[in-house]
Amino acid sequence: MSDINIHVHHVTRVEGHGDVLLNVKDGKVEHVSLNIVEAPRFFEGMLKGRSHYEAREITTRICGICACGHALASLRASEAAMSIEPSEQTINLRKLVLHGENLSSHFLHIFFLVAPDAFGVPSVLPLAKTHTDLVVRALKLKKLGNDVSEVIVGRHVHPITLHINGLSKLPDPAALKDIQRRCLEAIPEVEDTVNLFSTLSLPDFTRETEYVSLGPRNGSKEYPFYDGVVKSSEGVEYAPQDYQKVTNEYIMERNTAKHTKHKRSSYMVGALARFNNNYDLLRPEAKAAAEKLGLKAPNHNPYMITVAQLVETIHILHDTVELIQKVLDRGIKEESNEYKVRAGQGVGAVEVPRGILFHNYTYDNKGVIQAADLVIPTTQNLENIDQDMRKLAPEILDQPKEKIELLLQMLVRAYDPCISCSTHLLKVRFTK
Amino acid sequence: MHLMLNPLVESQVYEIEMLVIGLGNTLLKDEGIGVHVVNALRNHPLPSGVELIDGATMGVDLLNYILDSDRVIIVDAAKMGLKPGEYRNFGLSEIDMDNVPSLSLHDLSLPETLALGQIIAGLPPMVIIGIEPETIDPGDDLSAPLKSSFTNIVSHVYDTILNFSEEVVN
Repeated sequence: MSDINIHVHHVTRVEGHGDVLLNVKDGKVEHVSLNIVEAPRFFEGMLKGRSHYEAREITTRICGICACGHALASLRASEAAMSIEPSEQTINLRKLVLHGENLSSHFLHIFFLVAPDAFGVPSVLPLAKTHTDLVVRALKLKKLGNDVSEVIVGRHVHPITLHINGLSKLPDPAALKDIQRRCLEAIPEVEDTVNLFSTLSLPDFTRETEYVSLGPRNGSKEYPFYDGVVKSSEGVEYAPQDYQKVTNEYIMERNTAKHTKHKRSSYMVGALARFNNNYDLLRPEAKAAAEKLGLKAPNHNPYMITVAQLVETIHILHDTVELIQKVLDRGIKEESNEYKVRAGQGVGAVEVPRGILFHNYTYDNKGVIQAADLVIPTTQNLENIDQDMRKLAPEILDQPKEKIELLLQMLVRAYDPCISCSTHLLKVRFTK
Repeated sequence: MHLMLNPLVESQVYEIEMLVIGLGNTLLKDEGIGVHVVNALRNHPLPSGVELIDGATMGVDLLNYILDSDRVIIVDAAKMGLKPGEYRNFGLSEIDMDNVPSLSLHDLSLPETLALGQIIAGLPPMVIIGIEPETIDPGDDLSAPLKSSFTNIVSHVYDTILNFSEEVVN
C-alpha cells in the first residue's frame, strides 16, 4: 500500500482554526490528529480585576453562537460565589433563553454545516440552489431559535437583559404567546426534517467512550440544560463545584488548547452525551423521533451527534411551549433583583449546544474577580476527537484519499467544534 | 427600494431604509473596530430611516436584518494590504469570491452569508467599509494606529451614510 499524507488546513465549516493531520507509511497509520492553532485562552486573564457586573458582559462576547450560554454560566458562577438564589420566574425565563440558543445552534449545525455532507455537496451554497425550500426552512427555524431568546434578552447575540439575580427588563406576555404559537407551528416542520434525515445515511463507525453531561439533581424529571449535577456515564456524579475532578485539564504537545480526561482516557460532551446519559428524561415525542432516526441509547457513533441534536430540537420545542405556558399562567411580575456583594468562590455549569460549559470565579469582598477558570465544551471533546480519529483511520485506509479526507473532516464537524472563540476578520483580495 | 420579499418572515412587518452593521469581536482588539464605529455613530445625528446594529460576531443571522433592508452598509476589519487605520469602500463585485479563504469562524463567513442571501432572495444595494487592523490579539481596546485614526474612520462612515449612492455598490 502506498503512503498517504493528508494535511487539511483549517477544516472548513468548523468554527475557528484546526488542522487535520494523517500520515500513513507502508499501510500503517503513523500519526493522526486534530491540531488546534487557536490563540491561547486569554479570557480568564481578561476577567481578573473586573467587577461582578462586568463578568457577564465580557464573557458573552466570547462566542457569537453561545453568547447566552456563556452569560448564564457566568451569572450562575457569580450567584454561587455570592450565595444568591434567583426567583423561580427568573430561572424559568433563563431556561427559555437557553432553549432558544440550543435550537438556533442545532439548526445551524444540522442544516448548514452537516447537511451538505449528507447531500454530497461541498457547502450550503449549492444546496441553496438545489434545495432552496429546505435552506429557507432552515433559516426560518434558526431565526425562531434566536427569537425565543431575543424576546427575553433583547437580542440573541450578546444578550442585554440578563443580570445577576434577575432580568433588567421583563418580556411582554403577548410576545411570549406569539413565540409559543411559532414553536407549535415549527414542530411539524422539524418532524418533516426528521423524516428527511431518516433517509440519509451517516458513516458507520463505533468507539465506546465516556459521556459527561449535566444529570438530574435530586430526582428531577427534567432533561437538564440549565441545572443539575455533573454526570459521567461511568456511574459517577459530582456537584458542579467539583467539576475539576472531571475535567482534569492537561497540556498537549503541538496544541495551544488544553485537553481533558476523567475515568477513561477521553470523554465526550454535547448532544450525544446528553442523549446517552439522560435518555429516560426526554419527552416522548423526542424519543419517537430518535426511534425513527435509528438512534438508541447508548450510541457510540460520534457521527450521530448531529442526529442527537435533531432529537433534542423536538424535545426543546415541546418543552418551550410548555414552559411559556407555565410562565404565562403564573403571571409575569416585577421582582427586586438587588443583591449583596460578598467575597466567595462559585461555579456555574450549563449545557450549551456543544456540551457542558463551566465558569468558575473567585470574588473579593468588593465583588472584584480575583481568579477565573472557564472550561468550554470543545476543549473537553478534543482528546475524544483525536482518539476517534486514531481508531477510524486504520478502518478506512482502503478508501480513496479524498474519501479518507472527507470522513476525517466529517468526524471533526460532527462534534460541532468551536475552536477560535471567535474572530470575524475579512481577508479581501480585490479583483480590480 | 429593495423589492425582493424576505422569505424568512411570514409578512413584511417593517423595512429598514438603511441598515448600518458594525461587525467584530471586541475582545480581539482591532477585530472589533466595526462595533466600536457603530457605537460611536450613536452620538451623531442620523437621517431618519437609518438603523445601526452591533452585529458582533453574527454569521448567517445577518440575513435576518439584511433581507429586511433597502440599503446596507457593513463596517468590518479587513486585511487589504493597507496601512493600519486606513479604510476602503467596496462592493461585493470587487471581491475575488472564489479565493476568499474560509478560515472562518463561527458558522458561515460574511462572504458565504452574502452569497447565500443572493441565492435565496437577492441582496439589497450594499457597501462594505473595510478597515485595516494592526492586531487582532486578545484585548478589549484598539491598537494605537486605530485609536488615532478613529475619528477619521467614524467621519468616513458617517459621510458614506449621508452620500450612499447605489451606482458605486454591488
